[in-house]
Amino acid sequence: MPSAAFAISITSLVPELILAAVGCVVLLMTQAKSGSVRRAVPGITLSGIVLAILILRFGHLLGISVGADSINGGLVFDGLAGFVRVSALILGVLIVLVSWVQPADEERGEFFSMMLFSLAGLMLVGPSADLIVLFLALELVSIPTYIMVALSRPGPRPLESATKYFYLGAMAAAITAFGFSYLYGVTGGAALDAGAVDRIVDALRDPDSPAHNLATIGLLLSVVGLLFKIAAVPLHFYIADVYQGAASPVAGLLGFVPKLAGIVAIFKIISLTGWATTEGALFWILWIVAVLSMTIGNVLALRQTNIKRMLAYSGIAHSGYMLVGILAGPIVAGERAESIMGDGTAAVLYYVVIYGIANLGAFALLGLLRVRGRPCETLRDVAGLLRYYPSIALLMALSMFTLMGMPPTPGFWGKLSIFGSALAAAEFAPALYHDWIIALVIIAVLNSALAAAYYLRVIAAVLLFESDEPAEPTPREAPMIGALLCGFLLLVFAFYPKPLMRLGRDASDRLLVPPPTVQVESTSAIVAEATLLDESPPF
Amino acid sequence: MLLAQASTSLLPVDLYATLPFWPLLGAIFTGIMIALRLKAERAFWPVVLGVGVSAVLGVILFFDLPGMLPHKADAGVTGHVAEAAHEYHDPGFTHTIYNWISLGDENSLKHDQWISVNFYFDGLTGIMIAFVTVVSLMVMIYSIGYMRDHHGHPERGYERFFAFMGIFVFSMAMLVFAGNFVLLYLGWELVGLCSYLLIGFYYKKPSAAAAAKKAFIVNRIGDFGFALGIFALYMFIRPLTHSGENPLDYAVVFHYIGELSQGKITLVALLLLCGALGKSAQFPLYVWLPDAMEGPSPVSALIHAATMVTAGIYMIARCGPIFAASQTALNVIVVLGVIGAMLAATMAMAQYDMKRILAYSTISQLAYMFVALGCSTPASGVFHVFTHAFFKALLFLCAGSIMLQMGHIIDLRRFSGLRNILPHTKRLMLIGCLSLAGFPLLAGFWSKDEIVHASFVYHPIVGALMLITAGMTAYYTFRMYFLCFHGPLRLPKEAGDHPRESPPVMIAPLYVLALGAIVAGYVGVTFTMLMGDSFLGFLKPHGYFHHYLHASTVVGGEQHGGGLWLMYVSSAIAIAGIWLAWVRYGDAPVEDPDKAALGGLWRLWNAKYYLDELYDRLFVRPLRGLGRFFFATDNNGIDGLIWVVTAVPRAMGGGLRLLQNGALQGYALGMVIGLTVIVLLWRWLEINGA
Repeated sequence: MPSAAFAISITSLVPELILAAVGCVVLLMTQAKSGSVRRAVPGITLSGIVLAILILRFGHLLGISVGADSINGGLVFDGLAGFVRVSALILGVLIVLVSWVQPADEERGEFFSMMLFSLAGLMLVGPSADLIVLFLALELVSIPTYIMVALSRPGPRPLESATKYFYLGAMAAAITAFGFSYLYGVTGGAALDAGAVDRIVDALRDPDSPAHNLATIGLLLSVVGLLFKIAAVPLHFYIADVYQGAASPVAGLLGFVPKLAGIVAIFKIISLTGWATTEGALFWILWIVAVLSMTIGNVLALRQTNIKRMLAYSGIAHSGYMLVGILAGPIVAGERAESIMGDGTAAVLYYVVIYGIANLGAFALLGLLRVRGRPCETLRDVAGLLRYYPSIALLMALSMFTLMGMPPTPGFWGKLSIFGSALAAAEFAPALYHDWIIALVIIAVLNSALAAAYYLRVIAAVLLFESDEPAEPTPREAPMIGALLCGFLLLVFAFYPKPLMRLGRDASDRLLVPPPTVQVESTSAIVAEATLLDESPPF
Repeated sequence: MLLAQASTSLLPVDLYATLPFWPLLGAIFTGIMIALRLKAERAFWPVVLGVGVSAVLGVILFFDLPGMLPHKADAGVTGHVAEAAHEYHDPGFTHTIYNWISLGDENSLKHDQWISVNFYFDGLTGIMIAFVTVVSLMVMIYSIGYMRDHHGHPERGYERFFAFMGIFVFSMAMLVFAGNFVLLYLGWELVGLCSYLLIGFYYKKPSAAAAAKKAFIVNRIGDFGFALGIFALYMFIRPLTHSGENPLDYAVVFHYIGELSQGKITLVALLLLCGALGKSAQFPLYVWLPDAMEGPSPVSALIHAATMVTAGIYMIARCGPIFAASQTALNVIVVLGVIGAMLAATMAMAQYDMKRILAYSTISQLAYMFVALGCSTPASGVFHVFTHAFFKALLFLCAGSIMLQMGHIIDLRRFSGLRNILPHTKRLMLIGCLSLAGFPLLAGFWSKDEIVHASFVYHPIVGALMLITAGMTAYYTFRMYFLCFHGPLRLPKEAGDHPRESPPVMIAPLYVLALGAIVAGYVGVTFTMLMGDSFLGFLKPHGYFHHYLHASTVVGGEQHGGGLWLMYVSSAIAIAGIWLAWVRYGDAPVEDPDKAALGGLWRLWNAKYYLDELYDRLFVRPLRGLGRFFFATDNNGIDGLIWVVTAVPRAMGGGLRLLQNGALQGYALGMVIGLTVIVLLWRWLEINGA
């Protein structure tokens, strides 16, 4: 019996395994003496990702079940998993293109293998339905990113950034792991299934039960620890230093890979509460975190003339907007006819991807440009680009407009659906929470207006200002193709957002329906043990 | 339903739906040519070809459309709309290309509602798209020869010109095809953008840059109202709709509009009217149009006379069911229209710049169309839009031809007696002027007379004012014509020694337009044998055009019968106006006889009633002051605020730095403090029973 289950889980993980295998191959290529072999690294990385996409899409034709709607060994391949896998691979292509020439020749193999491992980790976060698998997947996302920051460019700056990132990340991971262990205690198992949801919901409903405090603090610690991944207040401190220290393409990657992983992990943790986000202590915590993230992020970004730091701080604000959507929850307004968009989590998923593309595009363009031989970072560096390099200038403007949420860019559709679903949730929420959600949306909209100020400053610098010393693009095709693809995708999603939104909707559909509890012999012992634990008071 | 219609059409609907995109494709090609730095000489080809394909499709669509529309009899089959107990039957059909913006997804909500990319086809669409594409094509061909210097080499920005014009035709076609208000607004703003870019085509000239800005800003005022109108529609209509009905689609809005209260309808109508006032350059938002003549002449002809400026009239005609339901809005339209018509006509009488005279005449003619809309005869207004497009484009292009040969001098005081130098232009201009003046049997006569008649039915005073304006129109038009072509030959020194007629590539399209200026009116006239009931014994107003428009959202009272006496009166007035102009300006006097005769009144007209100055005092300067105030607040106030907001983290950071040696520990401490605060907050909430 175990061997059959094992076989199923292996075939469903073929795309992830391809990434890992190619990662190993690429890592070995670092040792090659010949420079031409080392130069082939990005190409091999790219073909690995493309192969994974092909398997994911057409694998069933070859008889490889890539795990559509199957459950095995702590993994559930549902709509959310599909969304994460597809978006990770597609963004992966863009990321590889953008960072094609990034580190020096000798380190290229290590760099790209880390990128592949990180992407494989992200793809595992989607289907993970078990606290331990989830934690491992999250760390598989994060640990390679620390190394990538360190390798991304020469000099002491990236090393300093990587060190900070690593230590703070380890601390956040510890907080998450601590929270997970409490959840494990309450649910009596590591599985994130219907049984676990029942236990957590029961515990939360009954303030006198011994498991109540255990469950709440477990949820709080888990979510707060995960805030590090999405760089939300109060775990946002690292972001500006890390973005500035890393090479631009890596900063672009950091805006998507850990963020999507963190968002999906938060989904999975909050799923345990049955998405009762519009009531209880978790509501207030998320409310405050969202408001502080938006406001602090925007205010800090407003003062920046360094574009990389500005984008870093604005990333905090974007996490704040995403938290608004998480507060709204999935399909809150199922029965409400008057709502605009009733699905907060679908909106958030859509928004993460759009934000990821726009952010990557902006960083890719920054990475392309050089001023007097050094990388382009400040507003002054990008001034007057329109005159000399109109295509770069227009792509930059498109990215900024998307981040700003200007209609009809996809950034606007994202914000519209997030705020719309929050309003729908307000209709649905208990009276006390109604006004607070409305207030949250108002604060979010005001923050969007505030954010327009600094995005427009970049656009003005690029399009309107003159410069005596314009930045020079380095003649590199692959990053330019990557940037062009980012711009192209943004345009497609501006005028045809339906497919991505549909994918997000399918992903969010299953969030309210936890996977059924599978009674496996090996875990039943733990369950029994945990029931014992339940009966004795925790404090 | 759609399939059934497609079978009766000559070409598939999907093919017609590609119409707007050909010019865009052409513009993109031209853009690529610019990027590749190819020779400018051939830059016009992609755009002219694209517009050509559109024009062919547009003309075929015009003849094909009546067969495609649902017939009145089987209107009951056209789905949900006719099922309700309302009288409104959707006269056209909506062709959805794809769903764009979700207003509620079918999976999660009861409502399957979208803002779609959909096109609406009815009689009005057919008429608009036919003349827009044909006139555009003529202007494009003309531009091939016009946008050159006197050696015949392409001007600087030749490629840019054609790329922008291609985008303009795309936007205008989108505006006409749009099947919902959001797409309409998109086309509306895109044509505005093209107008801005093309007015400022000679952006190095300060006056052109200023005019472009003025046009853009004045249009913003109107568009603000327009946007509010669309928001209001959404707000009012959405609660009434059911799943599957997109709340901003024309078909849905017009179906439910009757269920709104009178006040709401009037509010929506007036807000939409704001947009029309800006785009169609009506009082009080007309001020941008005369300045817009800073752009190249083909731009003035196409955008600022024939097509874009009629978008406001199109929009009101399209929203017939909304406006017809609000008599208040209609009355406002009539009042503004009459003011605009008279104001612009009098101003045109005392100008010397040919293009400006034509611009004021455009405002005046657009005001006629407004009056027609307000008098509940929108079909007459659309008829005038149609005929006006031909003769006004013709006039502007003739003016351009003169301007090109006179070395970009357009001041009527600087030249005269050009009849022998520019024989073709003279002949064409005469046709255009006669048509504009309402000379009997030409295109302008038929449409203008319908409007005058409708205004008499509305109120005799309005009718009389319209007649007087018609006389003034004839007078100022021929004042311009005589000053230009009659009298002794005088040339400005900029014209060089041997000015000659423009090349055939410019003259040929003008003949097409001139043909339109003569015969376009007969689309709206019936030939008859009944002597007593017709003009000159064989012509009767109200023809094919009006039947064509029956199947459209253009609703209003039917054109009343009778009024034949009016046709003779207005003919007489037009001829009298021309005669008066001949008497006073027939030999192109150097000293303006009107200036001496009318004195103060003439100076008032010449100075455009000082309205520009008044606007400057009333709006521009206070706003500039406000701008300075905001700038100062931004510099001091907001920055100060930010300083205060960031003071807390800064102080915290400073405090932390005292405790810590390096940033890393500080950050870690910050994280721990944050976590602690959150946990404490949770405890506090638990204790307080939140």
